[in-house]
Amino acid sequence: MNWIRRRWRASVGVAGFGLLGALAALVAVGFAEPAKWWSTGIYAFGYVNGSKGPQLPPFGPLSNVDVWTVAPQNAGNHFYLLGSDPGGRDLLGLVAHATIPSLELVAIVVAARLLVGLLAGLAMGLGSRLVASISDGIGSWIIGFPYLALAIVVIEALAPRGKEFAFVVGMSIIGWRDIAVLVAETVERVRTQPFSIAADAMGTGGLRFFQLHVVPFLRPVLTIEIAFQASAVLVLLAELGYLQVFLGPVLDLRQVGDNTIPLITQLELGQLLALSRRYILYKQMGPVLVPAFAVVAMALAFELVGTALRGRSRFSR
Amino acid sequence: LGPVLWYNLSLLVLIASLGIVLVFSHFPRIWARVGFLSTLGFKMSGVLMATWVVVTYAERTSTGFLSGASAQTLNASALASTIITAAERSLAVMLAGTVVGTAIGLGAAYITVSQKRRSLAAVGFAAAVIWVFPTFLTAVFVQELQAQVFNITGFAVGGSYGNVDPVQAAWAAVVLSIRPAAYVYRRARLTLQDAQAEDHVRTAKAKGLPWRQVVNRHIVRPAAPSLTAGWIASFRLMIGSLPLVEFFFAYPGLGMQLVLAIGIAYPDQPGHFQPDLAIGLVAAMAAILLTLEAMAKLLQQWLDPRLNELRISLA
Repeated sequence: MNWIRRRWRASVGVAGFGLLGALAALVAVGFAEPAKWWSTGIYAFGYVNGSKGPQLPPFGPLSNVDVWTVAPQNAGNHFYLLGSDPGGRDLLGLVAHATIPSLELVAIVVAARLLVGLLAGLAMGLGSRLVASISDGIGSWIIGFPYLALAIVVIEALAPRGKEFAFVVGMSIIGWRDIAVLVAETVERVRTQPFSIAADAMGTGGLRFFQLHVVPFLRPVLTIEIAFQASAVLVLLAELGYLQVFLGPVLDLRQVGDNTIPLITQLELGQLLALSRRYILYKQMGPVLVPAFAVVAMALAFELVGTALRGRSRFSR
Repeated sequence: LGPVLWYNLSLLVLIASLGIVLVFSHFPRIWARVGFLSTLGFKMSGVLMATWVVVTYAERTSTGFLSGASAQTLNASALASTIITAAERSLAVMLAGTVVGTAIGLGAAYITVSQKRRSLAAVGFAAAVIWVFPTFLTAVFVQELQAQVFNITGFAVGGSYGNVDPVQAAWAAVVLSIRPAAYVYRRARLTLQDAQAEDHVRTAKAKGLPWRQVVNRHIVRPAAPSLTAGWIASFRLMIGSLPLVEFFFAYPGLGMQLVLAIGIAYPDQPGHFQPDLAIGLVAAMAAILLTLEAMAKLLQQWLDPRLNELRISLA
């Protein structure tokens, strides 16, 4: 049975890294696009190859469009691999440029969760009852508070001090306790091992004990947790975006008549999803589904990598 | 209304919890059974106070949704009535979601362990995919499914949008249950796989018992307390995404009321931040969750009497 498990684990790992590679390639393609197709230009209509008359954006995926500005002035021909938003901007370019700041935010949030979780977990695992009680108390409150509402309230409260800072704190306040519990369990497990008791008997203590006997076991556990946390933070970012909590303002694009279509201005995946509700009402599914699936694909890739790594860990289940 | 109500309520709950400790903590056997009430009270008191502090701080500093509390203030009885009505609606959705999610998650984990087929590994992959699906995306697909059914059959299966409607509640429950089902499956599968490695399972297999009997009697039964812990964690997840799901379906339960109370609005509608209502709704959701957690602990003790003994010795 072991070889089956190893093969399954290897397949999961290959799928995870393969997905990450494919996403990186797509991001590279999006980055290679000229700025006018994803940033500076707003387009009013276009002639899609094969159609008789002009068509208003959003353009569909895999469409080759002769694009015109509001002036009207011909902006040239463009191939929309994943379609466009209601401003005729290429969704691949938008998502590619939104991915980097979003992943930076995810990395900072995961690092903050790890730092707090690691410190609390070590204190809990090394026997500090006070920290364990405080952690349990705060954890109970956080658990009792619906996580999305908590993140929104904290982000809104801290936004005047800087929106990035508010997002990091708001998204870190959830999830650190899982890491703390994991670290505490690992430390407690290491401390009950025979080698650990022997080391203690031989007088190895304090920082040296931690360095020699705890860190080697903690490192793989935390490496795996990083992948799972990255996945969870990405999903949280998307859900916050859907509830209109995101970085930066939006731009209202006024159409003929009274209709106003908002467009995002600061590229970040959460913000790309912030207008989902309105796009759904207008039956414009492309601008909703493309960034949402980008989040799903990234989160899935991290999840698969984490699952594959967990199978390799000595203390894995 | 605000500070006075929340201070007093928090202090009252705290005093009641301390009273329980003072009266019962000297009797270990009784304490093992009623101690959870004091824990519940301490946690509830903390939730009330901490939520009030956070919301009040947010109200003072925010320049966004939470800036400028609404003039539409509620008196205590109107507040209680709004919360109770919303709680009844949400409880119905959560109950249905819990039944669906638990049945799917635990059922799939049980089948995966009891059938031992390699093809069932695909269930694990499916659970990983479902797990990373943001809840609103699932809701979007469900709404599209409703639209397609209507286009094809002419039969409206979506229920009444924005109203309390059993059909709408059922759809919300389905969406609410999908991620928790994936979570329950993953936790339960790990728990059951761990239990398979126990000595007593090896002994049962060596005695030649049929595999199904080994699974039912020697794997699932001893693992029941851990499965309960996984289930309660999934419920926590469910209550966390309740605001999003109810907001999506415009189902006026605790979640949607909370989203609206913190000033988020539907497109083209003005938002009104209502701090008292927000704190009350959070307290109601926390009360539901904490009560269920306490009940789950009692259930664990009933499923594994050794836990009861352990808690008595700790007391």
